[in-house]
Amino acid sequence: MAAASPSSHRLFAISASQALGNQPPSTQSVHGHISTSSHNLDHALRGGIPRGKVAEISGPPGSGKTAMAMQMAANALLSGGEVVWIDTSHPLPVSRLVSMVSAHAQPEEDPLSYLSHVQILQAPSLAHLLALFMYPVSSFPPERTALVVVDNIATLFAAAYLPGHDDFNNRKSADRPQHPGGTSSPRGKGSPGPKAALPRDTASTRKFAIMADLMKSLSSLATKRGLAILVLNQMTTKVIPGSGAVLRPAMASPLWVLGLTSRLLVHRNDISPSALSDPSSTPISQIRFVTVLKANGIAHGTETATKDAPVVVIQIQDEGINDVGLVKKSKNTTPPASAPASVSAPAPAATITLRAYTFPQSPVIPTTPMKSPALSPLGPRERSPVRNKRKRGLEAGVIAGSDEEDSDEEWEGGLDDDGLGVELPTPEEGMLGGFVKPAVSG
Amino acid sequence: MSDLASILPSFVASSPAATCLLSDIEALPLTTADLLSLDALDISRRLGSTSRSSVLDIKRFVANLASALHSDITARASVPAPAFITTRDAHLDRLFGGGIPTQCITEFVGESGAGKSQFLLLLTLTVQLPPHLGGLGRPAVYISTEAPLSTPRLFQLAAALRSSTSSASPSTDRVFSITCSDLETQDHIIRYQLPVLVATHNVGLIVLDSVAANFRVEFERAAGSTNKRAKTAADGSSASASAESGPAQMARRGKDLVVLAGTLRALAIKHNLAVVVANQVSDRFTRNSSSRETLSLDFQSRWFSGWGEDPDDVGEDAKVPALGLVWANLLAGRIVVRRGVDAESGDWRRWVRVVFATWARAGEECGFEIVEGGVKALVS
Repeated sequence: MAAASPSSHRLFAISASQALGNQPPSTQSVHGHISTSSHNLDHALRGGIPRGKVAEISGPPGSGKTAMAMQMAANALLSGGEVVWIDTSHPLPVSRLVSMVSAHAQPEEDPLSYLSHVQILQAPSLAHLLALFMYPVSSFPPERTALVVVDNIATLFAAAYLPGHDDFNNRKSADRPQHPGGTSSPRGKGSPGPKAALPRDTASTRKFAIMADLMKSLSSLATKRGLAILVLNQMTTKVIPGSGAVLRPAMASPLWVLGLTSRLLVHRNDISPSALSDPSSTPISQIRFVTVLKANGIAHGTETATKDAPVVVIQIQDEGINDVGLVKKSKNTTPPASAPASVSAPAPAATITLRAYTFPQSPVIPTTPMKSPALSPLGPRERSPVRNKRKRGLEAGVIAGSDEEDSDEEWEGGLDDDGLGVELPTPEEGMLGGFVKPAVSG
Repeated sequence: MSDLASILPSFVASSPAATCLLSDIEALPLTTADLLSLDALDISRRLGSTSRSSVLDIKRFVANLASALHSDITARASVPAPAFITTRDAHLDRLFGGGIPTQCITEFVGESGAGKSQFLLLLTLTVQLPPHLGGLGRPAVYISTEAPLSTPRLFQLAAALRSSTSSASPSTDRVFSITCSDLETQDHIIRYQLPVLVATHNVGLIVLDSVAANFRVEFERAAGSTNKRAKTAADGSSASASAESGPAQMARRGKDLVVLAGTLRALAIKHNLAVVVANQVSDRFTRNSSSRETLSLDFQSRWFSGWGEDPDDVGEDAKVPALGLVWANLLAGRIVVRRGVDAESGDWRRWVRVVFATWARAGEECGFEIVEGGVKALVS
């Protein structure tokens, strides 16, 4: 708390025009953001992940979510803050954190001394996490906390709302006579048994309501205490006609996404060693691509439309995250040329240096109007969009009809195939909600 | 709400009124998470007129629940750091980032005959070594689903280990083994018998060889017969009389996998033990997928499945681990074991590689051979 500037208590106390007029002094960007250790990524995020806000990193297994979070934790530690790390599935690899800290610590410092500023908590169930954030106690988080990491949120929700259970079986069973005894599961979490008081209250509506409540608590804690909250998320599959199974962040409801100020999607891609300026020190296996879906509260893309979002190439080493030098402008890393400044994209803070070869002149963030809206409903693209969309939208409490635009392309060419199952290469991959497809299940 | 007992077994109602309320709430289709996030008034409305509990009772109950969860979190904060189990080969240990860690689930995936089981068998013995030799000094459990435990090889390994470490501890007597040939048995054993065994004998390693076998059999059989109802022990609620379609099965399998991983992980954390599972592979059908979208499952799975990372290397023998992304999301680490013809020498060789792991650096592939005393890295 002492480290945070006084204004962080009341974040919205100045008017927007005032905020725009005040170029943030360089010191504030130190206190105001936690660096990712990649200049390019920091630039795309306008300085890193902001304190007082909630950020999210999603990605498939092994994409480097935990490594990126550890790097930010190391940076928070090195700048004198404390870190709370909340494990939900696997323990924090402390030795890797130590090597990331020691890579940047002063030589006379003992990197292990920083570990006393890390509080590791376990939240083995969603209830634990909710108790932590929705029923706050004075000892949590500790006084000088700069960063709270939740690694990861998707496992908790998967365990509390088992995949396929709510979406599939309940919905189906609601449409036909109940099998006697079919609902009397000993562990029937949320199954709409005879005692279900409210017909609309399925497990999935509760899930989205809890996601929204949790996001509200996270945002309010972040704002009140001036700390950054970083939530790691996993990926799930959705079947899109024409594209097959596509990965999407597992937790993505409009209200959840709305609460996030920064949203990153880390993944891998083919890259030729010849594109690297220093191939010898940059093994391909360490290269990751980070799509900036949302930076500084401005959406550049959604989970369904990533192509307008800037992509930053980083390298994950034992010592932490680094930029990757690229020989030439790659299509992925350079945004479309556009007018230099706009109201929605303030100039980057002075402390950020650009790598000239990666971002020649134009700002990272395209200022052309976004093609796709920031919010999109949760529902997968389904075969009969009108009927299903309405049904999904109501149940999920979703703003309906906001994905007309970005769904157009995915429908092209998708109409001649069967939509599901048959074209799926590995059917076992897609066992999540994306398979809710009445045409096949009937 | 019936998940309270599994989330917080130690929770007891503080007063008679709370006990009464607890049983009322148990009947509602609410999870503990719902209780914490719903307004007391809302809970009261759901309870209906049958309950005699007031809104204040509910408020007090939820506050007690939250503070019980807080103290559980506090109690968990003092768990020891994860320990590592050695493979008795310095190079492989380094490749694995120190060995196989406790408190999480590690997967060995590969074709049959690639050498996964060699690692699993070896670990059941090295876990018994005293800590200064890289073990935990604790016994192991070996749950097999396909072939029963290979005892001749285990005896051979144990004898070799005893002589090489001059330690008396690695013994086949301290490897508990059981074979479960169907999913129902497997589920019962893991959920009810295993926790007791682990607690009684201070087990340090649980091996499940393999995790996919029973799931595959169960669901493929169900898919083959349309009038036989697919039933798993884990799930009574969806046992409908009608035949279930493929997506329904996959959805249920995803659920079963999450439950299985949750049970194993809870044991791993509670007892600071390692969980190692073997997984099978199937052929990858669409390697020249028309979809080149970066985020397509096909494309991204090249990196987390363990096959096809190098675009030039996507040959005929590309594989994909069973159980898909849902299972991969539940793992802390995946290690691929592969057998093939060496391009240079033309001989058959084995390789091992960390595909992803939270605690180790991934990517480096290392050749290894199976020797009398275990596995040995081939370092040039």
